[in-house]
Amino acid sequence: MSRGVVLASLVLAVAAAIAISLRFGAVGLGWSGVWDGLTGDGDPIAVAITRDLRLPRAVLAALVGGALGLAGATFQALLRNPLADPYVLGVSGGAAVGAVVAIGAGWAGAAAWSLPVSAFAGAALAIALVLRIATNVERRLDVRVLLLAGVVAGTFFNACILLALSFQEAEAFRAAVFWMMGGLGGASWRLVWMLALALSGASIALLGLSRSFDLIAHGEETAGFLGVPVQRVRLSAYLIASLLTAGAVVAAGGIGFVGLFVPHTVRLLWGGGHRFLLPATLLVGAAFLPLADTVARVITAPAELPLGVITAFVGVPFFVLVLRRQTRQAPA
Amino acid sequence: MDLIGREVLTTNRVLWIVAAASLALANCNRPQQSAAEQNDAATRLPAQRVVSLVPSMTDAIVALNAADRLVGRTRYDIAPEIADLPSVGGGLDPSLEALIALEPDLVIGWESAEYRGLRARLEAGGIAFHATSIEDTTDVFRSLDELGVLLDLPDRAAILAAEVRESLAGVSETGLRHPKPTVFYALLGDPPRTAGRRTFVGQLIEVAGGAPAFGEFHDGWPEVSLEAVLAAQPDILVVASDDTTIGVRRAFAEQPGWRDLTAVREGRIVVIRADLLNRPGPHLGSVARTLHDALVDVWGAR
Repeated sequence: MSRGVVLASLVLAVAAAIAISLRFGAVGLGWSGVWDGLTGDGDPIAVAITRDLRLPRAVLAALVGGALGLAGATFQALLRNPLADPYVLGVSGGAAVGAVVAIGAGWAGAAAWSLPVSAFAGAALAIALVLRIATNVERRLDVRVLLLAGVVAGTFFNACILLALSFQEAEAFRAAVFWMMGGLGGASWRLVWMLALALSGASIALLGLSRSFDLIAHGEETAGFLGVPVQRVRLSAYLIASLLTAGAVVAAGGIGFVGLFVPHTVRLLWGGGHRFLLPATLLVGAAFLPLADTVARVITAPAELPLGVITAFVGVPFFVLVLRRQTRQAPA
Repeated sequence: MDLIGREVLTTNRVLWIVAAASLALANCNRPQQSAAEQNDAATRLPAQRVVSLVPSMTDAIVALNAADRLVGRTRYDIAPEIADLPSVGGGLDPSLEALIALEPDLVIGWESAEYRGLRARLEAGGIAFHATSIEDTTDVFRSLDELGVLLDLPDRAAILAAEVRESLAGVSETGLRHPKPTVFYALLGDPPRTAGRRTFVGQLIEVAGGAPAFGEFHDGWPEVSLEAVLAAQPDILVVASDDTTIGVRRAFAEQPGWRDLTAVREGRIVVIRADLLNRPGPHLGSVARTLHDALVDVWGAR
């Protein structure tokens, strides 16, 4: 199958995932009920459920999945490590701390834009911190230390969230679950537009860097010899990946492992350079997360499972698989 | 139960149900209760130095004019009679050290698994622990009876219980405009929760003249999806909040989903202070009155 056909079918897969996500929920509407609701012909309740609840949620799920997949692919390209993922590296945790700080300090109440900005600052600080910890005295990045540093940072950030929330009694538990496990219950068109804007900008910028990523995959020195401005590429790519992570966290809290297994699935199924890998990752993530969210909403209906539970149940076995394969290939 | 006046039983269906449920509950609770009594028998009753970790029980002790028996409070107890007492922390996660330092002879707490360690340590130190569980109004009256025994104030407890019953009966006689509105008690969350029919909040709604939305749920605080709330289109929303009514109404009107509820669009949101509505204690009657008056404001009297 040619790359173009694959991408076109993935676009259809995203549309199908969104359609399935629209179809199922606590109230049974049926395909025709959903259609009538979307077109505005149905009864007002069906219109409200489809247009105001399910549609923004399904679209936001697709955007969050795409953003996390793309962020994961970017981290993996830069770090030349298949286990890199915004969650594993502690970047999601940093973004969540940024968001919680913005809420706790009252900035978010005063100016709505300060929440995403603060989350972005948190994400960028987190990746800078983790990279600093993992870079040894010879200024070489030790991959095993990197993962350890990410896990330590992520645990620390969770503690920070719990600390901040324990000073705010009311509803603190629910808020903690959201920032640590994630969920799409707060979906709104405002969040959809915010994330769509960040995601389209980031996608274009990353596509422009895809050739550099291909060369960096052969080693940074080689890439440097071949004329890649490695430091500049690294800095901008880290910032873009932090932006994507922050956008996903603001919209849906801390959802793990999507950035890990989505790029892998793409590599396993089709392989290929970043010019294909990046858009394919975006689309697979965008198809996966609406489906995962549908499962989270339906499996214990009318109650809901945290979305992070579903992605962890898919992602952790995958992580173990990749880890085992990697250690077999390169015994320490 | 013997204190419920006959005329109330005959004139009021709601309290009838409550009374019947309370009889049933009293019967099936008997072995449990005697176990509790056995437990308490280890102490020197009546208790003279009491710490209540259950705010509604604390309220009841104050209402029994026995505030002088209390030696501590939780951080949620802010009644003026006891505001000066030392705090032991939260009701579910009190400081064991602070508790022991107060040298109580009785600690009243929730019947909760989280307590097991705490309870065992208190009892090992010779401090009695009385566990209570308050789900519905029947439990409120049972807990008043229990307090009467524990504090050796059975007459005062009986009078207080009669007063609460009388005020509840007075509220339920007034009623609301017909048709009876369906009332959704909204515990905000993702997804939201509501009160089962056989919780004190569900019963307060009925006493105040409404019919609980999602009446098919009997016990506890079930999660209901926002979609299901939209499909049910309750007539009135009840929210426990310390925010102003205007603030709560505005917040609901901005939320996707919630703003599509007719009740939200037409401003039929009733806001009751959280520490009133969520506290099943001796103020049950006045809470029912407050709720009833608020429902009348948005729905109309009979």
